[in-house]
Amino acid sequence: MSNLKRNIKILFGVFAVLFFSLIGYLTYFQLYERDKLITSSYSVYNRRLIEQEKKILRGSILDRNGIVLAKSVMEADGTQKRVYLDGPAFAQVIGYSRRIYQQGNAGIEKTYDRELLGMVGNDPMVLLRKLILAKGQIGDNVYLTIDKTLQDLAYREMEGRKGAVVAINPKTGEILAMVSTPSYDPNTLGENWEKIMRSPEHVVLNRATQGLYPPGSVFKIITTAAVLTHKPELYSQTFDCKGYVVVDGNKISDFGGIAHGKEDFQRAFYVSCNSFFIQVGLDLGSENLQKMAYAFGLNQRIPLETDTARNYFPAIEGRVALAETSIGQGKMLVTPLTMALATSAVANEGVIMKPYLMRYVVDPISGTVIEKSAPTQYLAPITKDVADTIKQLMMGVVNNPEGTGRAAQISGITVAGKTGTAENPHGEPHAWFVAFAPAEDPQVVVSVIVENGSEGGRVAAPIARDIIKAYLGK
Amino acid sequence: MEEYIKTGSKAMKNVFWIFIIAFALLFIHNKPKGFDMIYFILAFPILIYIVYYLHVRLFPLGEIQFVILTSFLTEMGLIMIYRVAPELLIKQIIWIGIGFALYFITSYFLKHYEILYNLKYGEYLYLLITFLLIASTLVFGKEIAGAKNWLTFDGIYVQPAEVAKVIYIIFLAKYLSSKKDVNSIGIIGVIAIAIAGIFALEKDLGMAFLFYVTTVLMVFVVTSNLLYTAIGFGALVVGGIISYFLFWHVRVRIEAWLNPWMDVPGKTYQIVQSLFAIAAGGFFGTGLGMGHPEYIPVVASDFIFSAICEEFGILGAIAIILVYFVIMYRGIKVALNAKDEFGSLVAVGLISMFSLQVFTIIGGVIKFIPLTGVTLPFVSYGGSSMVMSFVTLGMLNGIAVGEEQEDVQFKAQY
Amino acid sequence: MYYEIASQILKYFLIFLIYLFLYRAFKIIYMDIKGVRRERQLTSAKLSFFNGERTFNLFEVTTIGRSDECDIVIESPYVSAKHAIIRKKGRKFYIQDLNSTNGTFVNGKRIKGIAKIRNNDIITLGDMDLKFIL
Repeated sequence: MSNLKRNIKILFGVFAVLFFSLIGYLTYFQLYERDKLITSSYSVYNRRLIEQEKKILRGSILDRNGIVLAKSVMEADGTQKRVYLDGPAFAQVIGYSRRIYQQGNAGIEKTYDRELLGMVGNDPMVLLRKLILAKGQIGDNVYLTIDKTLQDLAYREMEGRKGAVVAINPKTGEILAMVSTPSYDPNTLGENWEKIMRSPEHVVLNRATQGLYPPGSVFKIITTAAVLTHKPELYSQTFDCKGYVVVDGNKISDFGGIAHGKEDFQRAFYVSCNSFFIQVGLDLGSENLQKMAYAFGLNQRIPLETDTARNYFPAIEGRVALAETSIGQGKMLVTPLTMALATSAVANEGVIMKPYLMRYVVDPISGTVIEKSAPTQYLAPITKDVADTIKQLMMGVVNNPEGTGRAAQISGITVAGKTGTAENPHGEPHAWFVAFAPAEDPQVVVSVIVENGSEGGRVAAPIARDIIKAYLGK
Repeated sequence: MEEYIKTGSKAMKNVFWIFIIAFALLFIHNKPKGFDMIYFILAFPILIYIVYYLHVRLFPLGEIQFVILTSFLTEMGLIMIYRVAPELLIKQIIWIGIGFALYFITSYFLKHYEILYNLKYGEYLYLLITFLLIASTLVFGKEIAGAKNWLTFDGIYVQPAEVAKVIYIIFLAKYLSSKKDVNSIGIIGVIAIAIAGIFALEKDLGMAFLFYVTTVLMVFVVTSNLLYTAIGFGALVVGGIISYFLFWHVRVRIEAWLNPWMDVPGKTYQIVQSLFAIAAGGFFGTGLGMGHPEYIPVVASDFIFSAICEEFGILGAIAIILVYFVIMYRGIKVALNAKDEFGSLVAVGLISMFSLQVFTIIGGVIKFIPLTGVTLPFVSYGGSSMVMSFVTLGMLNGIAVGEEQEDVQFKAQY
Repeated sequence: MYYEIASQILKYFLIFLIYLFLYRAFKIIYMDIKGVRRERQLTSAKLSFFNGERTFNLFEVTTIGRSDECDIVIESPYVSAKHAIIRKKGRKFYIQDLNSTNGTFVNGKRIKGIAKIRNNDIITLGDMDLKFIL
């Protein structure tokens, strides 16, 4: 009988554990699974959201200065229509909502779905205010960090080309412009869904955050950072460039086979000498180089409110791979946003701020700010001294008579930059240019890639120049 | 003593106020159709007050908590049923009334539960009845919502398995209190597997699980033998794996649990809608009448817990689980204090079956374990389940009161 | 819309009520563990008037006095409102005088504080003689 009693008590313990595990799982579900579930693409099957959306006039999306980019209008039959006022320029950033096109969702429309539906902070007092102040229910407005003027300019510059432009404020991480071309008109997405989604040019892909490219010579910024951090003695090396270098029997040529002759580190950076940087890279060693690339986030997925592709940086194996990696060729692949952030480390005393697209979310009726992004640090790959040294080098790229980025010069503003010409298996090399200005007190970082655009200095640098000029008002 | 009764009365007052507020809100939201419904709704608080008063009078040392807690649970059920299927409300209130009546009747009967033990050839009779009840639906049954576990008499649907639960427990208690040798346990194992097999053929996985696991737990309680227990659960796993490959409906349930997204418009529709409802509720719920629990299929019976999650939030839902926890605790208490082994075993079997059922359905609808369709006792819509849940607690109360037999003079003085 | 606000506010109130209910359910468990109800459990002991007129069953804890609140009510002017209390501890019974005016006597001896009582002891409260039967 005493055994029986003991066993019954054990049974009580078992059931207690079962019941409390139910409570635990429910709590876990609400804390961690709930938001995923509500925002997941499967919520097409969640009729609640559809019902709610039908009653609520979807909020607008505006640029940083309050210019409307996307808004909803109520049709006579009670249905809503989404109007994109600056369609192609913002198509990939703003994206589309699944409740307008049943098939899917993307971009800001996806990420800030709940905000646009006014479902955040829906407590009784907010409801009360909405009741008193407005007849129907209106979703909240999302203000972006993007400047429409800059975005339009970037889009005009890129029209007819394939590629991407990213402009960010290096001090805060705010994205000022983000363009991907070729683009499409989201206003016609309803009718042309299949055509747009299956376009051979991948128009829905945001090349700025999802396009993966070899960085080419732009990577020399990181090679230099590794030298200054891990083997500063290499910085004072000189070298005689013959226009090519042979590594383990493989001949790697400079662009156009030009022999630069005798050069020090500065000159090699201005003229973007591959032979020099291969030598430096081999002396530096793969471990140091890889460590620095990781510090810059080249193996990570950059955190952002919209989808980003994971950068690809495989382990460097062998001297040939090390040689190729030192000059940004080889197997690594990065997004234009990543290179903009790498540049911002140089511009912002070694610190990379976390990039963001949403400035704040406002309840349009009461004017209360519901959500607000705050600048936060993302990475700190280099010290201020290293950043300053690289800044001097990048100023030389644009301002030295021999520099490859002279096309980016602006009178009255010191621009610092780096060109890249990324060899790739798909034809002509991709043209890269990253820059920031004014060098003394950087306000804007720009990263430009033109697919198969050939030389970065000739094709990409003028685009960056125009954007910087427009932003700084010169 | 005064304070004890007073606390109980206060709890009943809470139940009353929840009722008043909820139905006042719901009447605005969804105007009651006809006076019948209003009369029946008003009858509920009167019913539970009468039951409470009677219980205090008739069983001063009985399990008064059973009445308090079931009042709360049935009330939550009524609120949600009025939300999602008001046409079922009157029937549900009638079932609750019948349930309370049976609670008292079984309480009185089970005071003398030795009769059940002393009945000659009792175990054979109980086992025979169990099998007849379970198998009856296989022969005459009607298939509803995929499971063939209903009998119909002139439009009244009965789930014989609900009745079989109680009879089977009595059988187990009787059998195990006299026979504990290896052979006898082996026979019990064969019986349990046979029962689970019949349920599996009827596609009633929930019941198969409940009967089988309850058997294993009772064997453990009686024999303290961990080997039997391990074999029991091992066989459950093996059986699960075999039926995964053998039965399509088992495979669907397990796949839907592992990956609810594989076929949302089809096979996993129910569980996904349930999860959406729980997510919509958050911690405090959407507020009564503000959610859309009607989007969940079979919400009034199997998925009523999800509806509560949506409109009362998981705070309300956790409260429900805690109430079941208290009932479980009281049941275990009854088992511990029973005056003989048979009484103890009946109590343990009943409360195990009850608690397992609660765990199975709540765990199922929140996707903690694979979903099997059983009802949530006292809350779900359904006559058989409601009535038999009351009988279960009535039996426990009877056993509890039975142990106090010698104190009959109590009333004379108090 | 007004319904919405009412529902939104009342939902917090409902949750509050539900948890108040739960609190009480757990309080009852607590009281059970503390044995509040056990004090009401009858024992086999009895107290009977010496003349055999009436017999009372004793609880685990039994109060005796003139007041209605006592378990055993003795209507005599010589008995205090709350006169004495009898407790069962283990198998033995103890009587305690509750500072009554006329005192409590066991087998004719006035007790101070607590005294043990045995089968067939005569307990005198005021002018009333009672017999303790185990």
